[in-house]
Amino acid sequence: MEKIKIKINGQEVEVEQGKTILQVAKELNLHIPTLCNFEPLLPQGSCRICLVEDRGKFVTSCTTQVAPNMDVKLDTPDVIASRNLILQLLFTERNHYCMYCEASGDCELQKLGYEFGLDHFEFETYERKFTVDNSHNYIVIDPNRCVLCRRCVRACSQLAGHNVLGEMNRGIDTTIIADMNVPLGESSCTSCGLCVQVCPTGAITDKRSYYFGKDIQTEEIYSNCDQCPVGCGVKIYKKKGSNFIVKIYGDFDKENEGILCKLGRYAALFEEKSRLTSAKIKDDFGFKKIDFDGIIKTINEKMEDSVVYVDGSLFNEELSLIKKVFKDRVFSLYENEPPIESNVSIDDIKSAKDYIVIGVDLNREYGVIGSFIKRKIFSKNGRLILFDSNYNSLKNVANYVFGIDELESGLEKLKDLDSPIIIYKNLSEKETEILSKNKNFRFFYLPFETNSIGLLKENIKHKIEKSKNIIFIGKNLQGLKDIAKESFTIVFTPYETDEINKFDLLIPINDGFEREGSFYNVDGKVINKAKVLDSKFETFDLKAILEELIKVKSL
Amino acid sequence: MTILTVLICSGAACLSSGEEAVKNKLMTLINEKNLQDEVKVIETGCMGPCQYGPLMIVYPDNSFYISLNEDKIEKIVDEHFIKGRPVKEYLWETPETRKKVEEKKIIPFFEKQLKIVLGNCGNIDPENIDEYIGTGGYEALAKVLTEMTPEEVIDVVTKSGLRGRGGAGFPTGLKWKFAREAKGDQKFVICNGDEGDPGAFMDRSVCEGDPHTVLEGMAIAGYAIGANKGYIYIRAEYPLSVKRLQLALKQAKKYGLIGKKILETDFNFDIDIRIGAGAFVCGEETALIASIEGERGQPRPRPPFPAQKGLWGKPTIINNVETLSNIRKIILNGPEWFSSVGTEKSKGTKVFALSGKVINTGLVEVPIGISLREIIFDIGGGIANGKKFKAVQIGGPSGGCVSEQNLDTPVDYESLTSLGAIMGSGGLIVLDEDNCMVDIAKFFLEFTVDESCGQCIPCRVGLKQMYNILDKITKGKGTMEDITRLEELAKVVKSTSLCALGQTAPNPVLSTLKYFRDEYYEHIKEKKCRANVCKFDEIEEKVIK
Repeated sequence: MEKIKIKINGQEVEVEQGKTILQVAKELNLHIPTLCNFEPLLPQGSCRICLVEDRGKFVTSCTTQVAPNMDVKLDTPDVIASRNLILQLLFTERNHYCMYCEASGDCELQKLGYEFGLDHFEFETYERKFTVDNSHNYIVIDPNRCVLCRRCVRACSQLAGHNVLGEMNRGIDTTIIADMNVPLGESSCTSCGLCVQVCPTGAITDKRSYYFGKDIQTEEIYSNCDQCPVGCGVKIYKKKGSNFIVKIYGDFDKENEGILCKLGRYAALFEEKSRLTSAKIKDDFGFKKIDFDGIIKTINEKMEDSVVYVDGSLFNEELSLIKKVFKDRVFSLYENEPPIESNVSIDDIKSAKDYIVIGVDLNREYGVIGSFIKRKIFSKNGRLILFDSNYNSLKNVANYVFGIDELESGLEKLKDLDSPIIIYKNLSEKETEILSKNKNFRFFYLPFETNSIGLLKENIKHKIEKSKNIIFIGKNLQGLKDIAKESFTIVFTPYETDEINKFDLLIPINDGFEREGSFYNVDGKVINKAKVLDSKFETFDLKAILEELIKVKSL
Repeated sequence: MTILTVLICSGAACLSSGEEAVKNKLMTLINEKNLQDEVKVIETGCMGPCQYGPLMIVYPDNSFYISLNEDKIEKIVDEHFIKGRPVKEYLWETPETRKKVEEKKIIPFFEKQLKIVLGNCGNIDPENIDEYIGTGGYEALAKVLTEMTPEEVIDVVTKSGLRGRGGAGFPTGLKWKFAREAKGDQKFVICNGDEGDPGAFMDRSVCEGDPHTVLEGMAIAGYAIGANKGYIYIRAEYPLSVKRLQLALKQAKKYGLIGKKILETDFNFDIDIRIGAGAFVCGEETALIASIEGERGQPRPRPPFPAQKGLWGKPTIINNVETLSNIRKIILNGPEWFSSVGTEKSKGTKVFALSGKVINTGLVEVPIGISLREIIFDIGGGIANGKKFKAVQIGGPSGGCVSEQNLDTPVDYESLTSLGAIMGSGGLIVLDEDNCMVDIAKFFLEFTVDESCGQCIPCRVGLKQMYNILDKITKGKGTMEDITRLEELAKVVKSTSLCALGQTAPNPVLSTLKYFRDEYYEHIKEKKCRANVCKFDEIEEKVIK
């Protein structure tokens, strides 16, 4: 970047062209107060708090790029007086009485109030009452606390690509709305929760963290989400000195750019499945409790004539221990080999122009990949071609929609595609054949489970074999009931499901943020996940059991 | 053989005062009396003195009939068309002398006007492209395409001294030059017809009365900056303008004057019409761009300016209807001809919508530099009902009030700004002694409060707080502190708002505070409104006591 010389507060400095005054000031450790500005979002200069003076004129430092001959003054009396008055106006617009607000303590508006020493209202506060929208499962919108900075609107469209939030009415009646002014709970919101994360005040909050702890009462733990193989970066706010997660935010410095999906942000906070709370073994009278030694003893007895099935929810460390204990008798319960190997990465997805999605609803699964694509479609920088015969919420967004049986004829019609990326999960043999023919295509495979790739790396493949004893380790019990009918079945799983009573030995294992480990994401990169919580139940650490088995065996 | 040519005004104002019935009656009578061969009737755009509509001119006598109705038409057909005697009592009457004027050309309302932009308005049938071509229409486009380079076109426009007629007065040639120099595979020309000032109807009249001149101006602009696509953004409240522009566009495309390979040159230029939903702020260029893009119509920060990054991020020029209507005459008559009219820094003419308490209201086009006194007292005929002049509000909600003492100031961009008003798009509202200046300021502020897009805080909240203070004062509950507060707020809103709406919205308050401060004091100290407009709530006070 070319360097130019400008004056800031009378001092001549050399700065990079193309940067804004605010960015330059930040690099020079000069403070400019801001409110509507939020770095990954495009600046919009609407709050006017970041005003500075350039050659006698006020400019917003967040939107104004540095230019030759600039003579910027950050804190002239005029600038300070103007900022002060603007803040006064803002505080009187709606209900900004801090003491009853959930955001108090973490609120950016409140911080500005302290910074400017605002201790009374200079103008009549005119109470405009708006209805609080409590219709959503996770999110509450209170327009009375809103400063109309539109960070949520910008985040929803520019970053997350959902385009759900928008504005209604003009002037002082302006409000943030979902879709065409429907309650958020009935809107097309995918519950990605990015709006909550970017809101500077208490206008958009999530129900779980409501009054459960301010930032100062929590510790921040950087980790990754293991709900799907995208492996998004997360920032976990755990309440200090307690076994409780207040909220999960997206990490803006990771590949997911702060975006999460409903699973990443809320699955760990709102546990919907019931947990298996203790280990039990079936005898003639039903189930009875069993302790750690009993588990080791039983497994050790049954190990000889056993086959081990796993699914893709297991971490690399766990898989390698399983291989160590059970050698080549370990199989994947589900198909885990890609129909066509991936040859592009998440970064390629972000920069591509044409996308062909085959049979995946990216609003429901792999949500962040969906965000990357949708935001390009909305900004008219990309095209989405969808092949799906079932319900797919991407149909409202896609430029072209075909049935899955129209794959060949559909592709025939689209001749001007610019090395499109094919995004798929399952493909039939015929579909694989059609797609492989085209040399122009790039492929992005979405593995079925979080660590499907890890299974392959450990050479664990899908195969069904009959055996006297069956051991299953994982979360997805779907495929187990048919093969386990006549065998003694040992199940390591975190959840209590309807069919679980058909099996013989049930061992609850840690789940979610109770366990740590690593897995391979869609790009084949190793993603680490930290342990944040202790289990509330009598669950076991899978690794501890496996290590004990190794110890027992070697004796 | 045609003996009489009848021009009947079908501008929106005349239409709403019953032009259609008058015209139908006229046509029926002509058919009944078998005058089809002798009398030719042409419906034209706005003739100017809208207050006296429906209007009709009969050539060759040059008789200007006003305030017509069906009965009057009957008499005119009998007396004038058949017997050859103009019906004197229906002719224009000068307010001063109460004398009927027999020929249009000596009517004082028209005498001081100079019609460049409105040259064709009221003289040709706007729905017939041949009539436009008959007045030299599309000649300028032909000249530009066959004889001039884009740079030469920009040079001519620059030399003419033409400045944007939308309000800010930015030099048009310079704007084109920036867009020409901006890099981009695609560029756009936008015609801003989103005329939202209350009481202003200049652009509407041009679009209704001479739509082709707008199209021609746009095509020339497109050639100059290297754009092949143009958009006309016009308000949905102007259905007649939309209809006539659409018709004009259709005709021009049929004649090969808009579209591909214009006049068999390599120049392509297509125009689309976009209809605005009536938000005042969409007249602001960046908000207008957002609206065309299908986004919520709210302004974006500048820089980058549209000439660098406009519609869909491409270099774009946005010119007002009136600005573009000047182009073809500048090309045909040369820049010197144009710059011979006007003052040193402001050239050409300006169209004003004259309204309020004057005798003759309507649409006027005057050379820039004329005094306000001439516009109000000579063209407008003075104050109606023998009342006393108090102020003239120029530039709509973004403008300010000018008092008696400054009436001799020449009307140009700089002088008006120095008076605290602006040229604006051209609304001119005359106020007399029955108008309360505090109430006027409140009226305009109410408009801007309502029309603020709600994006930036000074405009969204600041204007509302200013309105609250004015409301207090007009109810007799103001304090002297409120004046200080009002001025403080006005200063901050003006200097810190995001777009021109907020930056100019305090003008009505500031200018009335400047010239009519004692009226504010009267409201506060004496609880008195000299115009008897503000009603002070005394009963309530008593109850409290």
